[in-house]
Amino acid sequence: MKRPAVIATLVLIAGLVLGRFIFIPPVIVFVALGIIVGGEAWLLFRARKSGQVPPSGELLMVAFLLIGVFLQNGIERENAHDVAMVQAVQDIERVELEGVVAGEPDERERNTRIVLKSCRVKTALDEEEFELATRVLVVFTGRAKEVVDELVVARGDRIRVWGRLRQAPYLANPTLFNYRAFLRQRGICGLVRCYYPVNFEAVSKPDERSIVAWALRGIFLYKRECVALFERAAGKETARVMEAMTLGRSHGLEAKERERFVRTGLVHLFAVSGLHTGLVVLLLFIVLRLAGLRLQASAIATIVGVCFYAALTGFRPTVVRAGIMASCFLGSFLLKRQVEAISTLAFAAFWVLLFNARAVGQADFQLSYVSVLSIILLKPVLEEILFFKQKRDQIGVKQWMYVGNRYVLNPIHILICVQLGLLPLLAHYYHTYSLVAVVANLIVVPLGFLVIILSLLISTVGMVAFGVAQLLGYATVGVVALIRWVNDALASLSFAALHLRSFPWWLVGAYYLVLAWGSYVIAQKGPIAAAKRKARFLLTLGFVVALLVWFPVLQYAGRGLVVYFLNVGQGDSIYIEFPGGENMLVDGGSDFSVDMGEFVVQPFLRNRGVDELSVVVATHGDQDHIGGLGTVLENFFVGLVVEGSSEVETAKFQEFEGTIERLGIPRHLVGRGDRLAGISGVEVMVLNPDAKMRGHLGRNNDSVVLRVRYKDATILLTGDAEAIAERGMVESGLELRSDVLKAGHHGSKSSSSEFFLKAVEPRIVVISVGARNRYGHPAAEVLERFQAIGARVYRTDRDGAIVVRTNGRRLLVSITADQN
Amino acid sequence: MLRTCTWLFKGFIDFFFPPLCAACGERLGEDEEVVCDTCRQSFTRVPKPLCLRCGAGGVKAKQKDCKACPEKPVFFDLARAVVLFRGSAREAIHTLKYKTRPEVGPVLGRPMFLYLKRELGDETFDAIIPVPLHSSRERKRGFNQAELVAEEMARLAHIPLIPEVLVRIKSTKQQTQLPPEKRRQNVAGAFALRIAEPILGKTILLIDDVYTTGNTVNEASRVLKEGGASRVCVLTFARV
Repeated sequence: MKRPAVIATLVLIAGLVLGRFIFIPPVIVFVALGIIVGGEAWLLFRARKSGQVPPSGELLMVAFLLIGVFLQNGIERENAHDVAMVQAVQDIERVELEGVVAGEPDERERNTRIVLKSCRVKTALDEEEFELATRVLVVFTGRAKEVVDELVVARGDRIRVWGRLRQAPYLANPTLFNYRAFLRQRGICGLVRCYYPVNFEAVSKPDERSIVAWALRGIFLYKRECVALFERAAGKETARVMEAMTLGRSHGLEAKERERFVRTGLVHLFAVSGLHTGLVVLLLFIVLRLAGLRLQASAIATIVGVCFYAALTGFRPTVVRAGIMASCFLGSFLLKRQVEAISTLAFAAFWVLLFNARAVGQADFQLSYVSVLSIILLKPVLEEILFFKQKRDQIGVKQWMYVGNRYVLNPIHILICVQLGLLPLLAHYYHTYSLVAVVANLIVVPLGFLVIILSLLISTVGMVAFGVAQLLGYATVGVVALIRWVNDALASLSFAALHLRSFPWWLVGAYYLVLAWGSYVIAQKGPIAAAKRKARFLLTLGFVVALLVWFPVLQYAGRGLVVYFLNVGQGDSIYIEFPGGENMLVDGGSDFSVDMGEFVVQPFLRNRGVDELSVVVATHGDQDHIGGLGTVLENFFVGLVVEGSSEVETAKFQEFEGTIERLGIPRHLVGRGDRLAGISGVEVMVLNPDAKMRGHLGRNNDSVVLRVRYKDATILLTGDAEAIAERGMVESGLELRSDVLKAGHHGSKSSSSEFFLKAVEPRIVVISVGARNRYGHPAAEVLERFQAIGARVYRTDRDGAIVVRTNGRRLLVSITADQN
Repeated sequence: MLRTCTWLFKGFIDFFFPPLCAACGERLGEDEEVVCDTCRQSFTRVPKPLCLRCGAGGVKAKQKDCKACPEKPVFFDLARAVVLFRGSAREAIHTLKYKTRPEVGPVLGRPMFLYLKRELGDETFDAIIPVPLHSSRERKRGFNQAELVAEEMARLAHIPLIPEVLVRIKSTKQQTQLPPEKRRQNVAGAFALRIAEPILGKTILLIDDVYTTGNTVNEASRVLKEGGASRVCVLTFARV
């Protein structure tokens, strides 16, 4: 084994993946581990006695596989146990929670977040007590935040909190951020909100803290000091960017700006990454060397410095990775042992995973390791094809070419490698693939480095001479403004980014296989016939072209009719993709506090790569149906707006009408018996409102009701239509029978009357309703009616967004929410 | 206790970062260092008979004008190399120079010392001088590979090492990449003496890692001779 570290890490990851599917009882794992370690030790001992070559550790690889499975099994068990426990108490208003602070407090503008481990939960009612294996996130807001910030809790402190313990709330929608899953990946299964200082107390006393805890608390206070300095020197706006870049506080950007940085592939600048750590290591090493320290001493001091920096950033996986790798390289000077980059990368991953197996599923872990891996593996290959390497030492190469190679071509190579290697991950996590990333990074990363250097200077110089820091602060404001300006200019280019959907697993596999095979073919050395080389190259090219051609075909073709009942809380929003490529959005509901158009509908459509909407239907003027449509109209090219009533009754509707007017979007008032034109292969029939009765039966009964028929499959979308409208539809004699029914008015008892259901005969009923809504939707009697006709009921509050696919005959329903 | 700890630590490091051969990249055995035995055995000696001046191998016995010698005038008195610059020897030198592994230096120094004892035993040298690198290149690489090799030789042969005498004042292109007619011109004026005193009337052993065209060592020899050295012999680890 030439690179055991790589194999060990791969085996460990394989174990972690395997552990999701199989369960090995811990006893068996321990016995097997005992046998393996014992056997290995015996072999080692024997080899040492007799002077033979020691075993190279193949047996240990089996041990790592077992460890991986064991760790993952443990995680699954803990998750399942704690989720069940939290669910059992989540309706209790007030439980007592006592736990140990697991990391430094995350102080944000509006709240402070503290993660607790080893939590003990006491329900106030009957003093029932249980323990949680996973962690709990406590969010302190308002007065409680002020008090807890003043307290400065340290890692290892015990605190007690009273409040409602529940799972993190989230709206389950395909491709959208799932906060609950995000927290769970970080080992957090419960959430407590704390508003009042009386609702928490510190249990342990300061003098019980360990030295490490004091040290970490000191680092935390130092960090706070830095932030205060940043704010004084450069103003709040710039200070947030500086914090994000140097200290790893990730909340520095607002959503819209963040999106622009994603479009240019620059968002990595705002999370402390390996790049930053590398820069810090380099600076430290150079400063120490210049200060006259010897090589060995500088190396050791830099390793210590890296540890400090890792602590400063709260041990983020990327920093830990870069820190371990840098330490390996520095250590290689000390131990005179050659270390290959790939082995150090694997070594870093191995230890990170051994101590925190959950990291393997986390986005920043994956992005960080895959990007470095692709640099290591692809860069030599890229150099073969893209200029230089061979030409480096040839005649006629001028000085400027050396410089160009080092400072321009080299970074370009690295950026291309990262872009190639990360494609499937970026598609999965950001649904965006920047096409200007190489250019943007080339321009902005040096500026980012400048910001980091300035921030470091401010944080050190500012403690002694604030005047100097103030000057540096002005410079930083300028640089940050320049970064924003460059970024905005690039992000506004129409071709700046592609919208990509998540790759299915086989496509991810195919992609990396082609990448690996292509690299292998290009990098092949030794005497290969030119013809053979050429043939292999063409074959690779063929693969790539085939992938490029088939990728859109497989992603977009042959999908039939797809209907997404989006989860927008208490409200409706239904997105339909027609087989002919047209699409339609029926409603975009919102409650009054959050614009679901902005937070759900728009990102969902963007993630699906949608820029145009053929038809937008506003069933009626209620907030929970059109509240988010304004945002949609503003941000997408809308071909036509369909309405059932033109009478302005609500302020929201007035605003909506105003937006239509302003944007000059054609508007169409429909009535019973109309058909929506321009949709190929699918008949969209309007069943309501009755044009003659428009405006007489109340807003809800003027709802646009649509029956969508694709071959034999039919779907009925009823808006908020109530019993009167339902009677009207039944009496009109129009065909009502449908396979899927969206229950009228969120399952309210005023709709879905028995005679209507008898006419529709749905097999599947979808209720679009918010969890714990104040109207008590859906009504129990309505649910009983659905049960009576034998329909399968799906609810957005329980199942998340509901996706119905059909090829015209069969219906396939899938849900988005986690099962627990 | 301490021994066990070091042993454990070494075992730990060996497991994650096994020692690999500098030439072939295979895992090294317990008693092998830097370059594995297989690679060491595959080093090929320069085949005899040699050109008496430049040390080129396979020269017909009585041939006077060896084609491999550098253009006249030749300033060194004799040049010798231990092995041919090919195969694992080439890889080892590349690893030393381009992959920044200074520990390869001494590994090459040892066979050079043995060669010195065996083949040049009747010569006595007053000092060893490594061919210098230009300061910019040395800074970039972190060390001068010729000096590393020379250090080991000086240590083994008990000959004083005086690297401070000769400096490279011109950053030159690599000789291998140039057509023959330009090679001499390329290194012309590349070296200078910093202090002449230690070499006055002395016999100097000039050390380099590879002998390619001979122009580099020839130019260095010229400077040394002009500075007063009575005799300059060149020894390199490998030659083309």
